[in-house]
Amino acid sequence: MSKTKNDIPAIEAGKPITIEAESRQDATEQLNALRKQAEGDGLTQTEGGFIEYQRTAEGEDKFSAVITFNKL
Amino acid sequence: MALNKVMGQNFRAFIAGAAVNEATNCQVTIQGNVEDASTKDSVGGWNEEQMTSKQWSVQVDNIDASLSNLRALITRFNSDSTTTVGWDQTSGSQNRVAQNAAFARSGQAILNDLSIATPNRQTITVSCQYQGSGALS
Repeated sequence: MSKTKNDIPAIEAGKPITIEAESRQDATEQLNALRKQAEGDGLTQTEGGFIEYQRTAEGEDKFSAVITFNKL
Repeated sequence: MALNKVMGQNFRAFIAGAAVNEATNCQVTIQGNVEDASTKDSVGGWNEEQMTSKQWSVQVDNIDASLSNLRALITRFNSDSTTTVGWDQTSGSQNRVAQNAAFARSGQAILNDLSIATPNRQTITVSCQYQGSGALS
């Protein structure tokens, strides 16, 4: 599983990608950037994309999501 | 009917990052507890309220009576620990792909109510309530 923060990783069909952000808006923008790139690569989102919110023990907001694309 | 309305089938609960299998219904409740903050300065006979605390919960009904799902739910209930719970608009294959809609939210919640109905010769139904623990964002 590849992991990224604010950069767009290479998308491999069937390989889950994890994104992390400090705000829901940033997480959404990262996911949208991935979707746009995937569309250009002829891939479709098939799983995930749900943004999970958690407040860390240090009191910081953390937003993360796992998204998977495949060739349909 | 407006075309931009969200239909019930596309409003799905997500538990631990995944849309709930074979869900038939989900209900989101967000409540604020208030207390009367009226003073002698309040006019017109109307109460003035102030929020003292907030709470949220997600109830999900489904028909996934697989052994793995029932075992996982009982294990989760017994663990007393929180898991990520939330909701989003969905589409795509099996209608499980999150769309990051403007109303999507998530947070940590405890599975505090689990019921399994097993009527003879009918589909088993599972009902879970997750009580939010901490902020919803």
